[in-house]
Amino acid sequence: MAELIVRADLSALEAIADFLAEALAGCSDKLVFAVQLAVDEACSNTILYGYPGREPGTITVACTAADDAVSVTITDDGVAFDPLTAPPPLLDIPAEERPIGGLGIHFIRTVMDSVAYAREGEKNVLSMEKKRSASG
Amino acid sequence: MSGHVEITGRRAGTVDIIAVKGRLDAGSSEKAEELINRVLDDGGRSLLVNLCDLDYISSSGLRVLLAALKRLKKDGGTLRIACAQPQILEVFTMAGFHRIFSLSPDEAAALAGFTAGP
Repeated sequence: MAELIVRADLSALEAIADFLAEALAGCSDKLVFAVQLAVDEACSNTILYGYPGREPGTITVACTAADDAVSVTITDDGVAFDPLTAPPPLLDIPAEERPIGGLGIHFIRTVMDSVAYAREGEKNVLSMEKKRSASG
Repeated sequence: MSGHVEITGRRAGTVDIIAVKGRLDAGSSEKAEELINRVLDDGGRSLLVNLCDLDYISSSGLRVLLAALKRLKKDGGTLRIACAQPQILEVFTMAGFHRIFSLSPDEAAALAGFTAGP
C-alpha cells in the first residue's frame, strides 16, 4: 500500500494526482485517470468545505493496486460530511437553468465501482474501489 | 508529472481565444475564471476556449466553463470549445456537457463556427 499525507490545501491536489499516477504505475491510463478524478473531487470538497473558519487539517490518501481491483481510502479531519447523501445532479436541463455545482460527487459515483463513507472518531473515511479490466 | 496550468488569451478578428494547458482543477480554475471574466467584462461576445493541451479537468473546471456559457447566452454571445482530448471529453460527457457546449475538433473548425453562426 502507498500512502500520502498532505495539508488540506488546494495546492496539494496536483501532488495527490502525481502520487496516484506513481502508485498505479502499470495500470491503464484510463483507470489512472478515473481514480485521479474521483480522488481529486473528494479531496477538493474536503479542502473547500471541510474546514470552515479554521486552520486546514490533513488529508491521507492510501492506495492499493491489487490484481483485480484498485482501492483508495481518503481520510480527513474536517467537519463530518457524507458525500454519498448529496442528491444526483440534473443532467438533462438547459445550461441556463443548471445549478452550478453538485457534479463532483456524481463523477465519483460514475467512475468508481463502489464508494463507502464512515465517520470514525473525528475523521471522515471515504473508501472507494474500482475493478481492473483485462486491459487495465 | 501532471504539470501546472497555463492560461493565455489572444484575439482572432472578433473572437477571443483562451487556451488552457495542463490541469484545470479546484486549485487552478479561479485563474481561468478571472481571465474569462476579464474578456467578457471587456465586451467579448465570441469566446473560443482551446483545450488542445489540457491534460485534466475536474468539476471545478467545468463549473468555470458553465458559468461563462451562462453569462454569454444571457448577453447574446457564443462560446465554443476546441479540441478537447478524449479523457477531457469523457468528463464532459459524464456531466452531460457534451449536449450543452459546442465542441469542435480543432481551433480552425471552432473559429469557422463563429462565422457560420450557432
